[in-house]
Amino acid sequence: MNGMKRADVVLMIFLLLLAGFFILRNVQGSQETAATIEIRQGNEEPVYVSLHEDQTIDLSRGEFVNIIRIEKGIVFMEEANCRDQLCVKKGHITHVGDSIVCLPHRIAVTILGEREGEIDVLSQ
Amino acid sequence: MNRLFLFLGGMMKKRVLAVFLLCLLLLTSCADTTATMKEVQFVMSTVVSLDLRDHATPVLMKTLMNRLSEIDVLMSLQKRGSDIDRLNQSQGEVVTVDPSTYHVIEKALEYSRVAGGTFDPSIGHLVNLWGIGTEKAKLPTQEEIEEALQSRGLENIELLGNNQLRLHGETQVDIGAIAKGYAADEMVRIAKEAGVKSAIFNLGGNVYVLGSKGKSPFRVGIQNPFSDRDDYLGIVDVQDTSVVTSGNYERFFVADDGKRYHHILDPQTGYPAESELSGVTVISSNSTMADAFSTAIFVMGLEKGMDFIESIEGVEALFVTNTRDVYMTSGLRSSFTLTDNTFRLVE
Repeated sequence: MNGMKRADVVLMIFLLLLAGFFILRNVQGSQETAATIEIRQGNEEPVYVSLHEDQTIDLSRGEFVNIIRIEKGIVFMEEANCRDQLCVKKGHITHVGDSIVCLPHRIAVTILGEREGEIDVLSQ
Repeated sequence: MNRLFLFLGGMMKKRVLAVFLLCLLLLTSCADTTATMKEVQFVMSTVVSLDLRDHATPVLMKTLMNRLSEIDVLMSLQKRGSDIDRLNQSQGEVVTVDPSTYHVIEKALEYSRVAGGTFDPSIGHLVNLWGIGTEKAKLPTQEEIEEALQSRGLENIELLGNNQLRLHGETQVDIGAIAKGYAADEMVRIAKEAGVKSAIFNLGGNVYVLGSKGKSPFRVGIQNPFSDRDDYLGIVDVQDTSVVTSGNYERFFVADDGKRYHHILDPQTGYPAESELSGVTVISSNSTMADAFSTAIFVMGLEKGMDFIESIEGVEALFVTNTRDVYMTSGLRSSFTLTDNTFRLVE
Protein backbone atom coordinates (compact mmCIF):
# COMPACT_ATOMS: atom_id res chain seq x y z
CA MET A 1 0.00 0.00 0.00
CA ASN A 2 2.91 2.26 0.70
CA GLY A 3 3.92 2.27 -2.97
CA MET A 4 0.40 3.19 -3.96
CA LYS A 5 0.38 6.32 -1.83
CA ARG A 6 3.66 7.49 -3.28
CA ALA A 7 2.31 7.02 -6.75
CA ASP A 8 -0.72 9.12 -5.87
CA VAL A 9 1.52 11.93 -4.69
CA VAL A 10 3.55 11.72 -7.89
CA LEU A 11 0.37 11.85 -9.90
CA MET A 12 -0.89 14.87 -7.96
CA ILE A 13 2.35 16.77 -8.51
CA PHE A 14 2.20 15.87 -12.17
CA LEU A 15 -1.35 17.21 -12.49
CA LEU A 16 -0.48 20.42 -10.63
CA LEU A 17 2.50 21.02 -12.91
CA LEU A 18 0.31 20.40 -15.91
CA ALA A 19 -2.28 22.90 -14.68
CA GLY A 20 0.46 25.42 -13.92
CA PHE A 21 1.86 25.05 -17.42
CA PHE A 22 -1.45 25.83 -19.09
CA ILE A 23 -2.25 28.77 -16.80
CA LEU A 24 1.20 30.25 -17.48
CA ARG A 25 0.80 29.72 -21.21
CA ASN A 26 -2.51 31.55 -21.27
CA VAL A 27 -1.12 34.49 -19.30
CA GLN A 28 1.78 34.82 -21.72
CA GLY A 29 -0.53 34.59 -24.70
CA SER A 30 -2.88 37.31 -23.51
CA GLN A 31 -0.09 39.87 -23.28
CA GLU A 32 0.23 39.90 -27.03
CA THR A 33 -3.30 40.95 -27.86
CA ALA A 34 -3.05 44.61 -26.81
CA ALA A 35 -0.95 47.27 -28.53
CA THR A 36 2.27 46.17 -26.93
CA ILE A 37 5.96 46.53 -27.59
CA GLU A 38 8.17 43.52 -27.22
CA ILE A 39 11.76 44.23 -26.23
CA ARG A 40 14.33 41.50 -26.69
CA GLN A 41 17.86 41.63 -25.42
CA GLY A 42 19.93 38.68 -26.56
CA ASN A 43 18.01 35.47 -26.13
CA GLU A 44 16.61 36.41 -22.73
CA GLU A 45 12.88 36.33 -22.04
CA PRO A 46 11.36 39.34 -23.80
CA VAL A 47 10.00 42.32 -21.85
CA TYR A 48 6.62 43.79 -22.79
CA VAL A 49 5.65 47.45 -22.40
CA SER A 50 2.62 49.41 -23.51
CA LEU A 51 2.78 51.40 -26.73
CA HIS A 52 0.46 54.00 -25.20
CA GLU A 53 2.53 54.93 -22.19
CA ASP A 54 5.16 57.55 -23.01
CA GLN A 55 8.49 56.55 -21.55
CA THR A 56 12.24 56.28 -22.04
CA ILE A 57 13.75 52.83 -21.62
CA ASP A 58 17.46 52.54 -20.99
CA LEU A 59 18.74 49.16 -22.20
CA SER A 60 22.40 50.08 -21.79
CA ARG A 61 24.69 47.41 -20.45
CA GLY A 62 28.40 47.76 -19.82
CA GLU A 63 29.88 49.63 -22.77
CA PHE A 64 26.76 49.17 -24.91
CA VAL A 65 24.42 52.15 -24.92
CA ASN A 66 20.85 51.79 -26.25
CA ILE A 67 18.04 54.11 -25.25
CA ILE A 68 14.52 53.58 -26.54
CA ARG A 69 11.84 56.24 -26.48
CA ILE A 70 8.10 55.62 -26.70
CA GLU A 71 6.06 58.73 -27.40
CA LYS A 72 2.44 59.09 -28.53
CA GLY A 73 2.31 55.61 -30.01
CA ILE A 74 5.61 55.81 -31.87
CA VAL A 75 8.83 54.07 -30.97
CA PHE A 76 12.39 55.01 -31.84
CA MET A 77 15.98 54.39 -30.78
CA GLU A 78 16.91 57.72 -29.24
CA GLU A 79 20.55 56.90 -28.69
CA ALA A 80 22.96 54.03 -29.32
CA ASN A 81 26.72 53.70 -29.56
CA CYS A 82 26.77 50.71 -31.92
CA ARG A 83 29.13 50.87 -34.89
CA ASP A 84 26.55 50.93 -37.70
CA GLN A 85 23.88 53.17 -36.11
CA LEU A 86 21.26 51.34 -38.19
CA CYS A 87 18.89 51.23 -35.21
CA VAL A 88 19.01 55.01 -34.78
CA LYS A 89 18.70 55.61 -38.54
CA LYS A 90 15.65 53.37 -38.62
CA GLY A 91 13.70 56.30 -37.17
CA HIS A 92 10.10 56.03 -36.02
CA ILE A 93 8.11 52.82 -36.10
CA THR A 94 4.36 52.80 -35.55
CA HIS A 95 2.82 49.77 -37.27
CA VAL A 96 2.16 46.29 -35.99
CA GLY A 97 5.02 44.04 -37.04
CA ASP A 98 7.51 46.89 -37.45
CA SER A 99 10.75 46.45 -35.59
CA ILE A 100 13.99 48.20 -34.71
CA VAL A 101 16.96 45.89 -34.52
CA CYS A 102 20.41 46.65 -33.15
CA LEU A 103 22.33 43.57 -34.27
CA PRO A 104 25.72 44.53 -32.79
CA HIS A 105 24.09 44.85 -29.34
CA ARG A 106 21.54 42.07 -29.93
CA ILE A 107 18.45 44.16 -29.26
CA ALA A 108 15.13 43.84 -31.10
CA VAL A 109 12.09 46.02 -30.47
CA THR A 110 8.86 44.94 -32.17
CA ILE A 111 5.32 46.32 -32.12
CA LEU A 112 2.93 43.48 -31.43
CA GLY A 113 -0.76 43.15 -32.17
CA GLU A 114 -3.17 41.72 -34.65
CA ARG A 115 -1.52 42.28 -38.00
CA GLU A 116 -3.68 44.22 -40.35
CA GLY A 117 -0.84 45.12 -42.66
CA GLU A 118 -0.73 44.46 -46.34
CA ILE A 119 2.11 41.95 -46.10
CA ASP A 120 2.80 38.84 -44.00
CA VAL A 121 6.58 39.11 -43.99
CA LEU A 122 9.34 41.26 -45.49
CA SER A 123 12.17 39.85 -47.60
CA GLN A 124 15.22 42.08 -47.12
CA MET B 1 17.47 0.30 -5.10
CA ASN B 2 14.85 -2.10 -3.67
CA ARG B 3 12.71 0.83 -2.60
CA LEU B 4 12.80 2.17 -6.13
CA PHE B 5 11.49 -1.09 -7.55
CA LEU B 6 8.78 -1.15 -4.92
CA PHE B 7 7.84 2.37 -5.93
CA LEU B 8 7.75 1.54 -9.63
CA GLY B 9 5.70 -1.54 -8.82
CA GLY B 10 3.23 0.72 -7.02
CA MET B 11 3.08 3.03 -10.01
CA MET B 12 2.01 0.18 -12.21
CA LYS B 13 -1.08 -0.63 -10.14
CA LYS B 14 -3.92 -0.69 -12.58
CA ARG B 15 -5.99 2.21 -11.29
CA VAL B 16 -3.04 4.57 -11.19
CA LEU B 17 -1.97 3.48 -14.61
CA ALA B 18 -5.45 4.17 -15.97
CA VAL B 19 -5.47 7.73 -14.58
CA PHE B 20 -1.95 8.27 -15.87
CA LEU B 21 -2.91 7.16 -19.36
CA LEU B 22 -5.99 9.36 -19.27
CA CYS B 23 -3.76 12.32 -18.44
CA LEU B 24 -1.47 11.51 -21.34
CA LEU B 25 -4.47 11.33 -23.61
CA LEU B 26 -5.64 14.74 -22.41
CA LEU B 27 -2.15 16.15 -22.91
CA THR B 28 -1.89 14.91 -26.47
CA SER B 29 -5.34 16.18 -27.34
CA CYS B 30 -4.18 19.61 -26.13
CA ALA B 31 -1.36 19.58 -28.69
CA ASP B 32 -3.98 20.00 -31.37
CA THR B 33 -3.27 20.50 -35.03
CA THR B 34 -4.39 24.14 -35.02
CA ALA B 35 -1.90 25.27 -32.35
CA THR B 36 0.16 28.25 -33.49
CA MET B 37 3.42 29.56 -32.08
CA LYS B 38 5.87 32.29 -32.91
CA GLU B 39 9.35 32.76 -31.56
CA VAL B 40 12.13 35.24 -32.21
CA GLN B 41 15.80 34.70 -31.39
CA PHE B 42 19.23 36.07 -32.14
CA VAL B 43 21.08 33.31 -33.93
CA MET B 44 23.40 33.03 -36.98
CA SER B 45 24.39 36.67 -36.36
CA THR B 46 20.90 37.85 -37.19
CA VAL B 47 17.32 37.97 -35.93
CA VAL B 48 15.39 34.83 -36.72
CA SER B 49 11.63 34.58 -36.42
CA LEU B 50 9.85 31.24 -36.71
CA ASP B 51 6.09 31.48 -37.10
CA LEU B 52 4.34 28.10 -37.01
CA ARG B 53 0.72 28.48 -38.10
CA ASP B 54 -0.42 24.94 -37.24
CA HIS B 55 0.81 21.78 -35.50
CA ALA B 56 3.00 23.92 -33.23
CA THR B 57 4.45 22.45 -30.04
CA PRO B 58 7.14 23.79 -27.70
CA VAL B 59 9.20 20.69 -28.48
CA LEU B 60 9.11 21.35 -32.22
CA MET B 61 9.99 25.02 -31.69
CA LYS B 62 12.97 24.00 -29.57
CA THR B 63 14.09 21.45 -32.17
CA LEU B 64 14.01 24.15 -34.85
CA MET B 65 15.90 26.72 -32.77
CA ASN B 66 18.50 24.12 -31.75
CA ARG B 67 19.04 23.19 -35.38
CA LEU B 68 19.77 26.85 -36.21
CA SER B 69 22.36 27.10 -33.42
CA GLU B 70 23.89 23.86 -34.62
CA ILE B 71 24.23 25.13 -38.20
CA ASP B 72 25.71 28.38 -36.87
CA VAL B 73 28.30 26.53 -34.79
CA LEU B 74 29.24 24.27 -37.73
CA MET B 75 29.35 26.73 -40.61
CA SER B 76 30.51 30.06 -39.20
CA LEU B 77 33.67 31.53 -40.74
CA GLN B 78 34.50 33.49 -37.59
CA LYS B 79 33.66 31.04 -34.78
CA ARG B 80 36.74 29.19 -33.53
CA GLY B 81 36.37 25.43 -33.79
CA SER B 82 33.57 25.50 -36.39
CA ASP B 83 33.86 22.99 -39.24
CA ILE B 84 34.81 25.87 -41.54
CA ASP B 85 37.40 27.19 -39.09
CA ARG B 86 38.95 23.71 -38.67
CA LEU B 87 39.03 23.31 -42.44
CA ASN B 88 40.66 26.71 -42.93
CA GLN B 89 43.32 25.90 -40.30
CA SER B 90 43.99 22.42 -41.69
CA GLN B 91 47.03 23.28 -43.88
CA GLY B 92 46.40 20.60 -46.47
CA GLU B 93 45.42 17.86 -44.03
CA VAL B 94 42.27 15.79 -44.58
CA VAL B 95 39.42 17.11 -42.41
CA THR B 96 36.22 15.27 -41.46
CA VAL B 97 33.23 17.56 -41.12
CA ASP B 98 29.59 17.16 -40.16
CA PRO B 99 27.45 15.69 -43.00
CA SER B 100 25.47 18.95 -43.22
CA THR B 101 28.64 21.04 -43.65
CA TYR B 102 29.83 18.63 -46.32
CA HIS B 103 26.48 18.89 -48.09
CA VAL B 104 26.53 22.70 -48.06
CA ILE B 105 30.11 22.87 -49.38
CA GLU B 106 29.19 20.41 -52.11
CA LYS B 107 26.18 22.56 -53.07
CA ALA B 108 28.25 25.73 -52.89
CA LEU B 109 30.74 24.30 -55.40
CA GLU B 110 27.94 23.16 -57.68
CA TYR B 111 26.15 26.55 -57.65
CA SER B 112 29.44 28.39 -58.05
CA ARG B 113 30.21 26.43 -61.24
CA VAL B 114 26.69 26.97 -62.60
CA ALA B 115 26.96 30.70 -61.87
CA GLY B 116 30.37 31.01 -63.55
CA GLY B 117 32.17 31.93 -60.33
CA THR B 118 30.10 35.02 -59.55
CA PHE B 119 29.32 33.33 -56.27
CA ASP B 120 32.46 31.70 -54.87
CA PRO B 121 32.93 29.68 -51.64
CA SER B 122 36.71 29.81 -51.99
CA ILE B 123 37.07 33.51 -51.15
CA GLY B 124 37.36 33.06 -47.37
CA HIS B 125 40.59 35.11 -47.36
CA LEU B 126 38.92 38.01 -49.10
CA VAL B 127 35.86 37.94 -46.82
CA ASN B 128 38.10 37.95 -43.74
CA LEU B 129 40.25 40.71 -45.20
CA TRP B 130 37.31 43.08 -45.65
CA GLY B 131 35.62 41.94 -42.43
CA ILE B 132 32.37 43.60 -43.49
CA GLY B 133 29.69 43.09 -40.88
CA THR B 134 32.29 42.64 -38.14
CA GLU B 135 34.09 45.14 -35.93
CA LYS B 136 37.26 44.66 -37.97
CA ALA B 137 35.77 46.03 -41.21
CA LYS B 138 38.37 48.04 -43.09
CA LEU B 139 39.39 49.08 -46.60
CA PRO B 140 42.26 46.74 -47.62
CA THR B 141 45.17 47.84 -49.79
CA GLN B 142 45.32 46.83 -53.45
CA GLU B 143 48.21 44.45 -52.67
CA GLU B 144 46.26 42.75 -49.91
CA ILE B 145 43.29 42.25 -52.24
CA GLU B 146 45.44 40.81 -55.00
CA GLU B 147 47.08 38.44 -52.57
CA ALA B 148 43.70 37.29 -51.25
CA LEU B 149 42.42 36.81 -54.82
CA GLN B 150 45.35 34.58 -55.66
CA SER B 151 44.34 32.13 -52.95
CA ARG B 152 40.91 31.50 -54.41
CA GLY B 153 40.01 28.57 -56.68
CA LEU B 154 37.19 26.05 -56.62
CA GLU B 155 39.60 23.30 -57.66
CA ASN B 156 41.43 23.81 -54.36
CA ILE B 157 38.45 22.47 -52.42
CA GLU B 158 38.72 18.71 -52.83
CA LEU B 159 35.72 16.58 -51.85
CA LEU B 160 36.90 13.12 -50.80
CA GLY B 161 33.54 11.55 -49.95
CA ASN B 162 32.58 10.23 -46.51
CA ASN B 163 32.32 13.81 -45.19
CA GLN B 164 36.03 14.31 -45.69
CA LEU B 165 37.70 17.07 -47.63
CA ARG B 166 41.06 18.67 -48.21
CA LEU B 167 42.04 22.25 -48.99
CA HIS B 168 44.92 22.92 -51.35
CA GLY B 169 47.13 25.97 -51.60
CA GLU B 170 46.16 28.98 -49.51
CA THR B 171 42.44 28.66 -50.17
CA GLN B 172 40.02 29.47 -47.36
CA VAL B 173 36.39 28.37 -47.47
CA ASP B 174 33.44 30.63 -46.68
CA ILE B 175 29.86 29.40 -47.03
CA GLY B 176 28.37 32.39 -45.19
CA ALA B 177 26.54 33.41 -48.37
CA ILE B 178 24.42 30.24 -48.40
CA ALA B 179 24.34 28.94 -44.82
CA LYS B 180 21.17 30.93 -44.04
CA GLY B 181 19.50 29.54 -47.14
CA TYR B 182 20.41 26.03 -46.06
CA ALA B 183 19.11 26.79 -42.56
CA ALA B 184 15.77 27.88 -44.04
CA ASP B 185 15.56 24.63 -46.02
CA GLU B 186 16.24 22.72 -42.82
CA MET B 187 13.45 24.59 -40.99
CA VAL B 188 11.04 23.53 -43.72
CA ARG B 189 12.23 19.92 -43.68
CA ILE B 190 11.88 19.57 -39.89
CA ALA B 191 8.53 21.41 -39.74
CA LYS B 192 7.07 19.29 -42.55
CA GLU B 193 8.17 16.10 -40.80
CA ALA B 194 6.27 17.29 -37.71
CA GLY B 195 3.13 17.73 -39.80
CA VAL B 196 3.23 21.54 -40.14
CA LYS B 197 1.29 22.68 -43.19
CA SER B 198 1.71 26.45 -42.92
CA ALA B 199 4.58 28.53 -41.54
CA ILE B 200 6.68 31.64 -42.10
CA PHE B 201 10.40 31.36 -41.46
CA ASN B 202 12.30 34.62 -41.51
CA LEU B 203 16.07 34.33 -41.11
CA GLY B 204 17.21 37.92 -41.04
CA GLY B 205 15.24 38.81 -44.15
CA ASN B 206 15.77 35.45 -45.90
CA VAL B 207 12.18 34.31 -46.03
CA TYR B 208 10.63 30.88 -46.53
CA VAL B 209 6.85 30.54 -46.63
CA LEU B 210 5.64 26.98 -46.12
CA GLY B 211 2.21 26.21 -47.51
CA SER B 212 -0.32 29.00 -47.84
CA LYS B 213 -2.58 31.22 -45.72
CA GLY B 214 -5.69 29.09 -45.88
CA LYS B 215 -7.00 29.62 -49.38
CA SER B 216 -4.80 32.56 -50.33
CA PRO B 217 -1.04 32.72 -50.87
CA PHE B 218 1.33 34.52 -48.51
CA ARG B 219 2.10 38.16 -49.26
CA VAL B 220 5.84 38.77 -49.10
CA GLY B 221 7.07 42.37 -49.23
CA ILE B 222 10.28 43.15 -51.12
CA GLN B 223 12.54 45.61 -49.28
CA ASN B 224 12.95 49.07 -50.81
CA PRO B 225 16.77 49.15 -51.14
CA PHE B 226 16.87 52.94 -50.71
CA SER B 227 15.08 53.03 -47.38
CA ASP B 228 16.66 52.58 -43.96
CA ARG B 229 13.28 51.47 -42.70
CA ASP B 230 11.10 48.40 -43.25
CA ASP B 231 9.58 49.78 -46.45
CA TYR B 232 8.67 47.55 -49.32
CA LEU B 233 8.47 48.52 -52.96
CA GLY B 234 6.16 45.70 -53.94
CA ILE B 235 4.59 42.42 -52.93
CA VAL B 236 4.86 38.89 -54.29
CA ASP B 237 2.00 36.47 -53.70
CA VAL B 238 3.61 33.10 -53.18
CA GLN B 239 3.36 29.77 -51.41
CA ASP B 240 5.78 26.95 -50.61
CA THR B 241 8.80 28.95 -51.61
CA SER B 242 11.79 30.88 -50.42
CA VAL B 243 12.15 34.60 -51.13
CA VAL B 244 15.75 35.78 -50.71
CA THR B 245 16.73 39.41 -51.20
CA SER B 246 20.29 40.72 -51.41
CA GLY B 247 21.35 44.30 -51.70
CA ASN B 248 24.12 46.79 -51.17
CA TYR B 249 22.09 48.31 -48.32
CA GLU B 250 22.29 45.24 -46.06
CA ARG B 251 25.71 45.20 -44.46
CA PHE B 252 28.26 47.85 -45.25
CA PHE B 253 30.74 50.21 -43.69
CA VAL B 254 31.89 53.70 -44.55
CA ALA B 255 35.68 53.81 -44.98
CA ASP B 256 38.00 56.74 -44.24
CA ASP B 257 37.71 57.79 -47.88
CA GLY B 258 34.00 58.50 -47.21
CA LYS B 259 32.88 55.76 -49.61
CA ARG B 260 30.37 53.12 -48.69
CA TYR B 261 31.53 49.50 -49.07
CA HIS B 262 28.90 46.77 -48.97
CA HIS B 263 29.20 43.06 -48.25
CA ILE B 264 28.60 41.42 -51.65
CA LEU B 265 32.13 40.91 -52.93
CA ASP B 266 32.86 40.36 -56.62
CA PRO B 267 35.21 37.33 -56.75
CA GLN B 268 36.80 38.74 -59.95
CA THR B 269 37.77 42.20 -58.68
CA GLY B 270 37.98 41.53 -54.95
CA TYR B 271 35.89 44.65 -54.30
CA PRO B 272 32.18 45.01 -53.44
CA ALA B 273 30.23 44.31 -56.63
CA GLU B 274 29.43 47.43 -58.62
CA SER B 275 26.69 47.35 -61.18
CA GLU B 276 23.49 49.19 -62.01
CA LEU B 277 21.74 47.14 -59.31
CA SER B 278 20.78 48.12 -55.77
CA GLY B 279 18.88 44.99 -54.83
CA VAL B 280 17.88 41.61 -56.21
CA THR B 281 15.37 39.00 -55.08
CA VAL B 282 15.42 35.31 -55.97
CA ILE B 283 12.34 33.11 -55.56
CA SER B 284 12.80 29.34 -55.48
CA SER B 285 11.59 26.41 -53.41
CA ASN B 286 15.26 25.65 -52.76
CA SER B 287 16.46 28.36 -50.38
CA THR B 288 20.11 27.26 -50.45
CA MET B 289 20.07 27.83 -54.19
CA ALA B 290 18.13 31.09 -53.89
CA ASP B 291 20.72 32.39 -51.42
CA ALA B 292 23.65 31.47 -53.69
CA PHE B 293 22.02 32.86 -56.82
CA SER B 294 20.92 36.13 -55.20
CA THR B 295 24.61 36.84 -54.54
CA ALA B 296 25.53 35.62 -58.03
CA ILE B 297 23.06 37.78 -59.97
CA PHE B 298 23.89 40.85 -57.90
CA VAL B 299 27.49 40.40 -59.05
CA MET B 300 26.48 39.58 -62.66
CA GLY B 301 24.42 42.74 -63.07
CA LEU B 302 21.00 43.16 -64.68
CA GLU B 303 21.41 41.76 -68.17
CA LYS B 304 23.51 38.69 -67.41
CA GLY B 305 21.60 38.04 -64.19
CA MET B 306 18.28 38.12 -66.04
CA ASP B 307 19.48 35.69 -68.72
CA PHE B 308 20.95 33.43 -66.07
CA ILE B 309 17.76 33.12 -64.00
CA GLU B 310 15.56 32.75 -67.09
CA SER B 311 17.70 29.74 -68.04
CA ILE B 312 16.90 27.91 -64.78
CA GLU B 313 13.51 26.29 -64.47
CA GLY B 314 11.45 26.99 -61.36
CA VAL B 315 13.53 29.98 -60.29
CA GLU B 316 12.34 33.58 -60.62
CA ALA B 317 14.03 36.87 -59.87
CA LEU B 318 13.39 40.57 -59.41
CA PHE B 319 16.00 43.26 -60.05
CA VAL B 320 15.95 46.82 -58.69
CA THR B 321 18.34 49.28 -60.33
CA ASN B 322 20.04 52.38 -58.90
CA THR B 323 17.59 54.44 -60.94
CA ARG B 324 14.51 52.80 -59.33
CA ASP B 325 13.64 50.63 -62.32
CA VAL B 326 12.20 47.22 -61.48
CA TYR B 327 12.79 44.27 -63.82
CA MET B 328 11.59 40.71 -63.34
CA THR B 329 11.69 37.29 -64.95
CA SER B 330 8.68 36.27 -67.02
CA GLY B 331 7.35 33.78 -64.48
CA LEU B 332 7.00 36.45 -61.81
CA ARG B 333 4.75 38.90 -63.66
CA SER B 334 1.49 37.34 -62.50
CA SER B 335 2.42 37.28 -58.81
CA PHE B 336 4.21 40.63 -58.31
CA THR B 337 2.46 43.90 -57.48
CA LEU B 338 4.32 47.20 -57.36
CA THR B 339 3.08 49.21 -54.37
CA ASP B 340 5.57 52.09 -54.26
CA ASN B 341 5.03 54.45 -57.19
CA THR B 342 8.44 56.08 -56.87
CA PHE B 343 9.64 52.91 -58.62
CA ARG B 344 9.00 52.12 -62.28
CA LEU B 345 8.04 48.70 -63.53
CA VAL B 346 9.86 47.88 -66.77
CA GLU B 347 7.95 45.38 -68.89
